[in-house]
Amino acid sequence: MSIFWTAPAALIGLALVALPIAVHLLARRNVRTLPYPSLRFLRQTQLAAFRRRAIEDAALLICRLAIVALAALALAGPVLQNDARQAAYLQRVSRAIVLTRDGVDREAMERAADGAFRSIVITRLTMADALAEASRWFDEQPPSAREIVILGALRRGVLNDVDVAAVDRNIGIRFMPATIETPSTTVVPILSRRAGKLVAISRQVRADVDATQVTDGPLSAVSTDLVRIIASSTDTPLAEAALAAALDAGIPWTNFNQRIVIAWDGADTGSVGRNTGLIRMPVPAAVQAAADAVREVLLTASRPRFREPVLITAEQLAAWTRSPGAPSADAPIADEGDRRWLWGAVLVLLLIEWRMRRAPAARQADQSEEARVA
Amino acid sequence: MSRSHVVTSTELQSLRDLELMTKTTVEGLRQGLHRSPFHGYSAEFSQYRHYRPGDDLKYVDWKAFARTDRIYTRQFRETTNVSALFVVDISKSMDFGSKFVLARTVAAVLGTLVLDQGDAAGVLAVDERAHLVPSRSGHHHLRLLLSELASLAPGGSASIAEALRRAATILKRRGLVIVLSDLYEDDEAIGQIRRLARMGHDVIVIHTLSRGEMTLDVGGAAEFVDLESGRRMTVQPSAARESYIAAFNHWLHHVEQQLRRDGIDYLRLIAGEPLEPALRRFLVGRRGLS
Repeated sequence: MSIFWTAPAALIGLALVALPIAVHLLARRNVRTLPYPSLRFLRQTQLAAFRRRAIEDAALLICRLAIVALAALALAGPVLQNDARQAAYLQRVSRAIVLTRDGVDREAMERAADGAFRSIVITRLTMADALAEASRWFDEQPPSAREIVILGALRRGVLNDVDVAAVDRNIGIRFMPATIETPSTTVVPILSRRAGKLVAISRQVRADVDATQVTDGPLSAVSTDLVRIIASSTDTPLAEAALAAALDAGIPWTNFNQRIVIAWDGADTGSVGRNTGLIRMPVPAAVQAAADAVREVLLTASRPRFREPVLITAEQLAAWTRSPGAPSADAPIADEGDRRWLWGAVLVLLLIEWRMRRAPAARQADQSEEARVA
Repeated sequence: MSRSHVVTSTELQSLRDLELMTKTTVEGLRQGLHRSPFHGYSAEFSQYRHYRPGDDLKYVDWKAFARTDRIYTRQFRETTNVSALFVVDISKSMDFGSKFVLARTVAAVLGTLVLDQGDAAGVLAVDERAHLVPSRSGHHHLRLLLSELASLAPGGSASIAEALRRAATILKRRGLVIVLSDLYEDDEAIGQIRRLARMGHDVIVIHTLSRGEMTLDVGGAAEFVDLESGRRMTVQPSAARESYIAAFNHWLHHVEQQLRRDGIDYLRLIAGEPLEPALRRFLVGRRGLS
């Protein structure tokens, strides 16, 4: 069992206990010493009162010392680190909710934050940045169990072993796969092939489809007679190459569901394919290779369709999942701690000190009154 | 040590015409001023008694025989000298407000008177050891007596009761015991004084006090230190004075009453107040009683 001081600098205030001692000594020094033959008659008349006074003086000094000392200790904010408190620290959980870049509904976030002692929602461009930010946030939190909840669609490529290993072993990790919210529509650029040339037009599509659509047909035929290449909006060259490849391959564009999909798992890898047989490759660096792959895929007999995101496997998530460990020893303790007890004691002692100061004066007044009456 | 260090010549001369008489009968070795327990033939007529064969015819009162036709023998009170012992309190409590100086002066004055009238005088004081000047007569003894008185100083740890206890063992014959003390150890001291009186000694208690301790007129608040016990107590004299004086006077009255009840002479002397009138009144009063 130990004591943690939330404001240890205030312990300097303990030096102030010298103040009442000095006052007491100086006050006593003012009384001269008088050798006297006998105190027997003073005992008969005044001894009881003065003996009480002497005891009160000592008690008064002790009381004042205690007030100053307890006030200094209270200001220093002691937090007794006993077993019960340590257990309480483990009971409460500080939770960092890290969102993937998929849209997540509020309800899912509230579920993730439910029961947390303190929580924060973190969204960063990369998961590594988000996890580092969570670690920094934990460092500022009071002692508690620490847990990172990764909330989102959990597509493959969002998180890897290196990211997980970088997180403190005592910080728990938990995954909450969330369904992606139904997005609203947004306007995206579309490359349309007209009269053998690609022209840029715009079209309103689902907002979550971060894609450039490339079509060969007239704009009115987009929904029915369409060959679409869905690719990253920043990769128009890739889309153009893919479309060219498709056209070169003599793909009939009238088939409603014939689509070529370039789905993105992460920042620099993706998959190209039709229904099955995805080919993973570093896409931005190999546009021509992608085009070739598209061509190859398009030439197969299978029917292309829009491909769902590739998710991290449940086995992998289970491997990365871990429970929170011990709170950080360096966690700042911002609790009220045990200072309230000390302040309570200070108040009680102040009351006692006031009564002790008042008692002799009251007695003297009583004696004067008795003498006056007599 | 000259006698001027203990008592001034003025103090002595003013009382030189007086005598310190014993109030009770004392046993002396030679003829003196004081009543002896023995009847004999001296200057002081005591009583007649019927003649008995063997009586010295020199003491037959022939005039009475002529008047009454009976033979009476005159009896005289035998007088003797007295052996006076001054028991001086030199405890620490005497070291306050010239009380000890007063006691020493009184002892010197009375000692001088005793020796002047041909009696014997001695001094006894006890601290860590006994300071004893055995009772002797003669003016050559006065120097020794005064020298011993001058060498005494208050501060001893022994009480006056201890000195009185020793006096009781020292004194073999009935004599005069003069106790000079502030009597703060009154219970024990008065017990010893009574014992001396019961032994037949003529005991005079001279209660020496200072005005300051009677009235608590010692200035403002102070931490009083008991000279005897060293006990400390903070006192505001102005607040405590009234009850203190009442208690002190009650005690004085009680002590005096106790002593007088046992026939012990009591004289209260206060340091700083004129000594001669008080002593004169006392000595004259004793002469009247003797």
